[in-house]
Amino acid sequence: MATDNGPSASYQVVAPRGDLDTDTLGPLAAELDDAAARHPVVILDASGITFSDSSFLRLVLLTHRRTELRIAAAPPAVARLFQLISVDAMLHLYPTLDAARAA
Amino acid sequence: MEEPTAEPRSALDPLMLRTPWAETVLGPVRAWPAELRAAVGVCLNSPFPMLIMWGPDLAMVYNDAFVPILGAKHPALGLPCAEVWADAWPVVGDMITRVMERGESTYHENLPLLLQRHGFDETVYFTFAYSAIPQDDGTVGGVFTVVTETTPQVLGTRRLRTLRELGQARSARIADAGQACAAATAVLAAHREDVPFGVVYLLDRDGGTARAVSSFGLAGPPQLPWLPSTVAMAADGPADEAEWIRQALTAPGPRTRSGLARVAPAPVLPGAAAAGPAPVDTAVALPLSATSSDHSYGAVVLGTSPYLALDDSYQEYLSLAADHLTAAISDARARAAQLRRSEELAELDRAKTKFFTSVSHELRTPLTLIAGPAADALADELHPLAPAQRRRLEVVHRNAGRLRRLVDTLLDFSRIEDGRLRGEPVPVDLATLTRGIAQSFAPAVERARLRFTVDCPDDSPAVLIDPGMWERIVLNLLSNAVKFTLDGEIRLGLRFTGAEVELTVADTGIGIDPAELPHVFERFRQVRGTGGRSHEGSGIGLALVSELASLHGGTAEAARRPDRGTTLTVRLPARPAPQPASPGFSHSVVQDYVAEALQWSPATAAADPDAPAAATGADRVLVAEDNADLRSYLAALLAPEYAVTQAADGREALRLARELRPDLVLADVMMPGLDGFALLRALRADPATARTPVVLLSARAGQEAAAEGLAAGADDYLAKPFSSADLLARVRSNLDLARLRNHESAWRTALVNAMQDGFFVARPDLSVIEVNDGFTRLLGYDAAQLPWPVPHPWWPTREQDPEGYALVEAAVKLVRSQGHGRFVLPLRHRDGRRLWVDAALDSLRDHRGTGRLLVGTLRDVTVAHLAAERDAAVSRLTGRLAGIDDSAAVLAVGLAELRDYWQAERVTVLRGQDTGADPGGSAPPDTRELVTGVDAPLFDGSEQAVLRLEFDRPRPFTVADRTLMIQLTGHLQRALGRARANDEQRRVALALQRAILGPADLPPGFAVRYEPAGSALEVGGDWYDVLELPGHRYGVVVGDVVGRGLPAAATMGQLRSAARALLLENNGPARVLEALDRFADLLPGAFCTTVFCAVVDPAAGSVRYSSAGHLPALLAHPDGGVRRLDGAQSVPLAVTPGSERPETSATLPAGAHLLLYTDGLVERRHEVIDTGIERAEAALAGELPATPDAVVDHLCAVLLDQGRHEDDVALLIYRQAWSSGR
Repeated sequence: MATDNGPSASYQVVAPRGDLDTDTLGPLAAELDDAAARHPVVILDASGITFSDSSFLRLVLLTHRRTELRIAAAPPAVARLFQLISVDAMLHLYPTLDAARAA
Repeated sequence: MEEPTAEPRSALDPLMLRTPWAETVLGPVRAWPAELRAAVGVCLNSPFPMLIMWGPDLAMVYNDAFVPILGAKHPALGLPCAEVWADAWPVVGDMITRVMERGESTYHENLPLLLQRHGFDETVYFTFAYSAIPQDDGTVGGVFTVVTETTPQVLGTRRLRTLRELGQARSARIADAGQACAAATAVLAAHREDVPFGVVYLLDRDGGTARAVSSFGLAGPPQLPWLPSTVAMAADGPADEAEWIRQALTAPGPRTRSGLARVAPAPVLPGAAAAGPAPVDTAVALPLSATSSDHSYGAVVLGTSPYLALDDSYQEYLSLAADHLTAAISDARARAAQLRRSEELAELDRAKTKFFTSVSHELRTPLTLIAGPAADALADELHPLAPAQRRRLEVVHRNAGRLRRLVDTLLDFSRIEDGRLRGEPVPVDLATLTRGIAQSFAPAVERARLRFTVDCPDDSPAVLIDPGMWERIVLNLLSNAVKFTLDGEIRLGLRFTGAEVELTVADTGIGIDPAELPHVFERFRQVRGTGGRSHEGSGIGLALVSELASLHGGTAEAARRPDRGTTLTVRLPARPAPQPASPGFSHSVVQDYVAEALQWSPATAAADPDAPAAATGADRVLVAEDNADLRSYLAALLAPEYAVTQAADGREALRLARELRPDLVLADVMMPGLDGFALLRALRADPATARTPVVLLSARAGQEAAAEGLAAGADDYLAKPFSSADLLARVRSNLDLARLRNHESAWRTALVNAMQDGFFVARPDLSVIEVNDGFTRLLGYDAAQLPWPVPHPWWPTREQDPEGYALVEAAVKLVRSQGHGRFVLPLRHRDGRRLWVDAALDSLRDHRGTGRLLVGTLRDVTVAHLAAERDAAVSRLTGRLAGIDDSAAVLAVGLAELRDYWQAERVTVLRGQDTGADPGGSAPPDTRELVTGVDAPLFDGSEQAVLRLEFDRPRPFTVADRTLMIQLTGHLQRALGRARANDEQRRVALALQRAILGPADLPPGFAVRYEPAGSALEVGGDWYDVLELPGHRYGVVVGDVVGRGLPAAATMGQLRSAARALLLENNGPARVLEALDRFADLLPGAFCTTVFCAVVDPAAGSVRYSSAGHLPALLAHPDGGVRRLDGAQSVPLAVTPGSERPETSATLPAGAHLLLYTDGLVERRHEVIDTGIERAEAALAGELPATPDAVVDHLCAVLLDQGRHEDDVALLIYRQAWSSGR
């Protein structure tokens, strides 16, 4: 997992990689929690996610409730999941990381 | 002719019509008698030549085919025959007159005629058959003549005769090619009708020029440009007239040349053809070369008759004549070569005799001076010799005598050659003389352990004979018989048959090859091979017999006896003598023969009373020599230094060498039975004696003989005569060398044996020829049993150990192809133990550098291998069991592993049995007993059981096997224990889950299923619920709380209860979810729970629903169509509390199925969720089972992939009944 602070330190990019399920979600949860505590904007670079289940959705929605979470470059499977459970409209989704930063 | 000839209807030509018949003796046609008309009708219509002679004048009527026969005499229709054939009339006139007068049929055969059929005057032959044409009145009206051409028969017969004579000419004894050609041309000259002239050219030795060596039919030698006297093979120029002959000289096939008469006619002698003196215009040049080779002898030019067509049969005749010539030349050349060879042989024979004569003369003087003083010394009673000296001098004396006899025989031959040896016949009582000679020779026969029968008449007439020569005849026959008879008898017989004396000596020895019988009496011819007592002898004894017999006007013959052995017979004319003389024979001559024959018998080889004592600890030398004197001499020479063993022939030497293992073998090359080279080969072939040094002795001197001996593998080679010092030096140096070599070899052996590892040497075919002690320790096979061919006894067999067999087979294949390799192989100790052996093989050139050998080392790695195997088996088992927490699966996997490891036929777990089984304790250690089954105790987590392995055939079950089995069952037992605990936990969790999940009793039309993920030991957050609502409706809920374990289950329980309450309050699905939103916002673990809530109204055939972030329910229509109920999708619970939720409804046709499920049913890693939903849609499409429960089974079977789903699955099916409502 890589993080990268924005130039103005107003947002933080969190970029998890690999499969995200109940057993592997811990580190990401801690990271998002930390980022949400310190930055007004958290950017989740979703491009490295290869699998996600409902626990990931829950984490995303919880984070979204706490802070401004921008989700960038979600892979099709992830994006489709957002759509299926009808949260795509309320989440801040961006096609690319740059678009998320620029917003 | 004026009148029309309607009859006969002429087929001839207008000539018939034009002929003024009325003016002929036949008169006008219409006046012809019926018989003539009929005959003419037949004649004119025939394709064969026919002639009718009619009336007393024999007037002629003939057909088209006859015209050529008449030639210039045509036209002659109606003319009298006698006029037309005036020239032939003397011959045929009488015949025809007889036909006319008596009505007889007759014929005139093969009448030669000249016809111009092909544009030239051709000699042809016809047979004329005459028959009478009778008339009504019984008289003969005319003669009907049918003509048949017989040219091919006449020519064929003539040519065949010539060829036959050519063949006869060939059989004459001619050894000169020119003469052979002359003989052939002489035959051809006598038959010039077909070939008027001919010239034979023969190539000279260097093939550069062909010369005319013989010709016929020409006036003088050939001197024309196209028929020159010589043909140079290098052409003079391009327009060389002789080129056609040159071509025939160099290439196969005839060359024909025409138009010669115009160019330059050959001066052909007259008289070739009866037909006339026409010049020869065509000639054919044919190669004279043997068909079997390219070698050309020359060519022949044959002129062809100007009166004959050069057709196929003519060509054939010419080439057959050329073949005869070729064969004649070939015969002559072969005969010449044969003559030359026999002349050379005769010359060689003369030269040899001459040489021996002069040498023999030179030898006599020194021989006399050796034999004389030796005899004197032996006879000297005044100064007696010491025993040792006497022995030496006896050898000298005996061998001087032998040499003298040889020299005398050679001298006799030379005297016979130049006619100087003449018998001096005196009156002799031959029977008495013969008996005396036989008696003198008897000791030699006795020594040879042969029976000796002498059959001489007591009373015999005196005959005139040279007694000295007779004595030589008898002695030579006897000594020949002794030499070639190893057992049985020798029978000497003398008979007087009137005019002859017949002496026979019959033996039972090795017979003579029938093919060799005629050569028995030839000089220097030894026909009996190597089976005799001695190899000595130059092959002149019997030749002398023959010569001596013929000096007396007699003969000598050899015959093979029917059973075995040989009979030699000498017949001399018995010339009567006036009175018998006292028998007398030269004792010295007899003694020489006897002394030599005595030497051949092995009795002398055995015990030499004064043999020098063998030095103790000395090297052993085996002396193999058939000559007893030489053998004793060698033994005496070597005895002071070495332990000497003597053998009288090669076979005995080989036996002794194998038995005694001498340090050195000294062998004569020429020995009866097994000669020196054969002995050497036999010694070298046997590993036990292969390194024994062998020194060969031979009478053949020269570098070549030595090279032959050394090439055969001899260590040294001594030519006779040799000095004693030389011999001793050679023996010593060879022993030293061998000792050095053996020292090295012993060092090597010690080194090899010092190796702890097994070591072996094998030939390229893998047969093992050498092993060390380590090898014997390892596998139990020792060097005494060498060599071992493949398959080696320590290899596993295909039957007993197919796996091991396959390993060895693969290793062997690799070694054969690569020449090296390293393998760990299961080998079998001689006592049956199975060993694991690390084998390293490599190939080397052998010490002679001629072939390759394989060397290998073997190390016992059984313990390490078994330990490794055990470790591998244990880790394989634990690996397989890892991650399996279901006890049934653990048992199944574990038992399969055990079965595979020992390749058992069956493995079972017996519960409730006597559990005394112990694979380690009950059997004695190191057991090699074969068993068909093994038991081991196994506590499977709940009770004590027995694990039983059963094999399909008896096999050993070693201590190592038992140890491993205990280890494996131990691991299995622990895994089972863990799995049992897991089972228990899961059972509890499931019970809990099911208790919370939902109702056990479902209304009709519903079916539910909860499938926890395989490895899940925890309860999950999935739930379903069905409850009956007022108005015959049903509330249906499927939900999924994020997370696992009891907290999730607790949250789920609360949400489920809340949903039930809300539904029972008659809230619609959207209202229920909005209320749950608020409720979930208060429950920490309920955030983001997804719920699908629906109300089914069976009577109305509709369903109202709303989804809180849950996957869409699926509605399967009875027509097979499936649609997603995704019209009221919204966010999961508590995400946007307080906001309104959508709700919608769908129609439920009769027979429709409604599926509600949690994501575990469709969600798979690395797959877009729609793929899973589509899979579920497909599973619902089409024909579905009859009951909702069966539909649930069907969906689980199709979608859950045998329990591999990762997440828990809850699913609910509702089927709308066909008859709607209650």
